[in-house]
Amino acid sequence: MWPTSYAKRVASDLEAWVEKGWVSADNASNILASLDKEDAPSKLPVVITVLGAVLIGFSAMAFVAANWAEMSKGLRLGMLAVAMWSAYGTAAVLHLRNQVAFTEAAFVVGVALFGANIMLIGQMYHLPEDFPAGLLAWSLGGLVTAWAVQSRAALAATQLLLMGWTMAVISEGNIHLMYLVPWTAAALLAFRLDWGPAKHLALIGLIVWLLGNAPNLAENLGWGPIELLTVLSSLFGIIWLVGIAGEERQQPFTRALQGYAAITLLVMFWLGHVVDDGFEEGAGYLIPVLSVVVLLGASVLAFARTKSLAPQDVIAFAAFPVGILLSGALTTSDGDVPLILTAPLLLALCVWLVTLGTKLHNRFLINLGFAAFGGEALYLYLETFGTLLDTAAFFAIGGILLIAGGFVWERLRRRATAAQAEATS
Amino acid sequence: MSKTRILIGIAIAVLFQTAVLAQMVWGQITLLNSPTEVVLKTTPIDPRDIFRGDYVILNYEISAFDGNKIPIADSLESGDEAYVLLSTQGSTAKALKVLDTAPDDLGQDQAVIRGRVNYVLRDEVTTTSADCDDCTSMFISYPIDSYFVPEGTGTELEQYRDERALGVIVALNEEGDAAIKGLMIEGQKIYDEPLF
Repeated sequence: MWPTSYAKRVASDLEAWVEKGWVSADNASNILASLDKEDAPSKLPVVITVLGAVLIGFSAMAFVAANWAEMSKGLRLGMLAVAMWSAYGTAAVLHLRNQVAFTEAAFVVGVALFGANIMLIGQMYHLPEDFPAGLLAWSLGGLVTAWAVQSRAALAATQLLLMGWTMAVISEGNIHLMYLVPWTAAALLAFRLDWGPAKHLALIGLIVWLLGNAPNLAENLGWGPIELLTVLSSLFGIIWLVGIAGEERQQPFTRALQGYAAITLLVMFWLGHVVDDGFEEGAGYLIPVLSVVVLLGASVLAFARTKSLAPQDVIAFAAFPVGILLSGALTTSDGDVPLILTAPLLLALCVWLVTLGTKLHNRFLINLGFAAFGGEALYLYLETFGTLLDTAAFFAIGGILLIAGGFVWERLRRRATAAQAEATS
Repeated sequence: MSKTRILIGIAIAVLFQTAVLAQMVWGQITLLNSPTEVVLKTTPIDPRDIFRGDYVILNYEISAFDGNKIPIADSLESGDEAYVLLSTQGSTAKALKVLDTAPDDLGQDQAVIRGRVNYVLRDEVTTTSADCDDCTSMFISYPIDSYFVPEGTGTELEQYRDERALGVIVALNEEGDAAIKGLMIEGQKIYDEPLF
């Protein structure tokens, strides 16, 4: 949060707390005064500096668009090497002067220039366009730098590059297991540096890898989209349960785990209820059904071992993959999906998500439940009324419904998050 | 981190990255120094890479194969590495056969180039419904499919696409690795690639 917005928020909260008698007027003035005096270090210059570094990296890559054919290859290679070494030399000087943010920026420039140099040497010697190999070399350069100098910015850049690498390999139709090796090295560094954004990137990287490989794996197994989505939703349901159990045991980062699992599950369910491929002829039900059974078992175990879950939560967790299976089983050969059954189930799951978020004091889950409910309502409106009415009426009625719905929904959301905030205070 | 440790870390990062880049350059220079040199006929197409500048995609004459004209190894499937045995007699190289492994010995006036099978069709009847002894058709791509040119000259080269008058001078080693050494138009060398 930026210091100015934080101060505004505190000022507004203090006003309410003074009215309620929770905070004395004198104490409120003291708190506000301390905020004015506080010279909180702003993150803005750091972010701007690192973004500037990224832009310099891009400019180096785009440099090849200019005509540099007049120079000899030796001169070009020398320029590339000197530019890269200069970035690291600058980082060393800045570090000795205790300029932490600028040192980080210089490391990002160094890593970016390393990538640019790979591309430029490829251009000079007419190397074939091999994105996966190029991205791997670039990522490894970034990873070695991040570990060697313990740089947060270089680590974040490397994690993004690794995601690009795995997606490039996966897009060629391969199942990519090797990603886990550098991913682990990057994740270990994220925990060693104890830096939240890198931990989030590690988790996102793993989810991207899992979801990216899934279609290729499904193709090898002869699964259609429904079988795949069922198994994936069971898997992410289990991940979510692990997050809940971990949070009760005060394990770090488990709340984020729940958030990402919840988003993925909702996306899986949404895809499952709109995809017009039913079960394919001779499709194997066994593994999808088994995955549901495993999830159900994990839910029951979590219910028995944790204090947070109720019997209806066990049912709700299992309802995600069951709903997808149901959608696949009931989709007709003409591609008509049984929205009339699955859409209410999704809406019900969104409402359950809000109640679960309230119970777990997890504001993110509450907001996610409301957002997903609104999104699904909008989708249903577009799917149903959109086909019945002419365009003008469609948009007019849609506008009124959106404004009214948004107003009511926002009030409900505020009430729920306020109740959650009161419960935690 | 202590100042000494971070300076050592920077040195490690610089050495590693420099070594990766040096290996890329050294690998290409070694290949370009190979004594085997052939000219391959090609048709250029002029795209542009936002990061890498102007280049032409080279579509080689020895990319498309007809089983009726050139023997093709039966075991080759899409995605496999393929070795094309070339005759270097004449002004441009001609394909002799498509193999699934590199030949142990190369005859005089022969060279081999390694590529990857893009697709293989083994229909028993050709698209014209005519019978044929071996209706296999295959497309092989080579790791020399891009040639970077000075800005704005890509379209100049493209005009030779239909005339098939463009030749690429390629250095080959015994394992079939290839590197572009230069371009020829109607027998005249128009680009020569210096090592440095």
